[in-house]
Amino acid sequence: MHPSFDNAALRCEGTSIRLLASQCSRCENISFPCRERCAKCYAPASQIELAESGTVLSHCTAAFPIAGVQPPVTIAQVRIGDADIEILGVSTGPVRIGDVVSVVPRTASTEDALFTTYGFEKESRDA
Amino acid sequence: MREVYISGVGMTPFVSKTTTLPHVQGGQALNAALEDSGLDWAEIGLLVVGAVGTGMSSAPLVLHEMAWTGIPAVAVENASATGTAAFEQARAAVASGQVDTAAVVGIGSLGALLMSRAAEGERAPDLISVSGMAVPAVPFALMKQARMHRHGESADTSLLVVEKNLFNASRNPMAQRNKALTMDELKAAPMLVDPLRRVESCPIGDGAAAVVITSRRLANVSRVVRVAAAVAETDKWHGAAAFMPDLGVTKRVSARAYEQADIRPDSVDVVEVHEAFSVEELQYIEDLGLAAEGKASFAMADGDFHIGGRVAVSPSGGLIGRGHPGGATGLSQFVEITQQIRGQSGVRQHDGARVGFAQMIGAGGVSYAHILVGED
Repeated sequence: MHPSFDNAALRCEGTSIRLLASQCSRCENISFPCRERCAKCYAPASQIELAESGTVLSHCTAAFPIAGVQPPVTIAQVRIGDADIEILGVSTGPVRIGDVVSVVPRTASTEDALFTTYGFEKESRDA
Repeated sequence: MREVYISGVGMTPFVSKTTTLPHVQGGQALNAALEDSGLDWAEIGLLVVGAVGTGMSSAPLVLHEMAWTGIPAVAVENASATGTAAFEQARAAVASGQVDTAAVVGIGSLGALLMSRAAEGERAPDLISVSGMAVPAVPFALMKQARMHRHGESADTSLLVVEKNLFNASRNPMAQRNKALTMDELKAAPMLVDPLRRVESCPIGDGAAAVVITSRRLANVSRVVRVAAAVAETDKWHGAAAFMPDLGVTKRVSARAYEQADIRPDSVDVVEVHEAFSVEELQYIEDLGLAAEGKASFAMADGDFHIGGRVAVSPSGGLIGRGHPGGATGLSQFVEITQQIRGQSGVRQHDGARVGFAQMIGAGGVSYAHILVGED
């Protein structure tokens, strides 16, 4: 697997990925991406892993290339697990509001390098 | 704090492209605002320039289009809200007694800046690029889809905003877009980011706007315009903060503005909002308390927000019709509202306009609310 596009947002191990965040030691707020201090109150925070799936809150479809993907490109807004965190990213196929999607690896590239990033894929069971 | 009055307003026509340099456009707008105020340039004690995408020394360059009087001059930047941010700096200086009279100018093209950034070459991927959020239409297409799901609006509902604002712009000689379109023509327009059509986004453009503010009630016009409320905030942390604007901020700043001005939403006559994308106007109308949640489109279909309706929203044509150059955008809202309150808007005049509300946001995000009140 290629290196993570952002080590504070995504951990890559073997063939699997995990979205990273941090939980505040004082107010318990979860910040994404992971940071040393809480994004809400600036108290020290410690790293956590986010759930591997979530629920689609909204979606749209671009008729032009976005994020290195050829059109039509579906972008989904996903509430991850039970956390009050919403992750936005490319979905490999069409989705509807309420669908359950998995966080899946995706490849991003620049002219001279390849990176692993994340995307979404609709789970076979319905929400 | 002292009362602050808008004594002069001026702007250049907004256009898609011009070879006139930003500071020269700024001088043209400022000269118009100064003439409108009836003041002499020597009376201006401070110049604040809202400059986006311009080079170094924007403030002295604009100053020198006028005269080298040696007054302090500074440039500020706050994305789409750059002009409004400049107004806030000048307003605070007058309100605090630092100066009696200040000039504010907005210049520079946000669109040109975004285009030049896109051409910078490939950068390492980050959260904004891999998520698709580098395209400004994406978060607002998501907002539209969520509203459609929550309130039962159709993909065509927000075209009501475009129809109204293009009609208003078609009668505004300063507007960048000057052609009204029918609902049938709008429904036939291609998608940009489904469910958002291309016609639902504001144009990229250029232009300048200026405002002269004073601590005195000048006798240059029959009705003076007082700044009755001025509120600025930034986004608070929220679950989608890594990607999206804080959707609660407009409600917060407008509630504070109403309290500061001691005015209720049903007293507002004219409103200018940041509708870079159509669906924003429906949301902000509700956030400003001008319609119940999910009901803005019904009231708009009834004509409530047209000129001559219950409250005129985007009588200038808004960002979609008048245009959104960047530095001048927020100040062009003050130009429109001031002229409406003075009864100077010609065929676009909203009869009886006395209370105006300017709402503005900028990427990052920053948020502003101003209430202007006419006093005879």
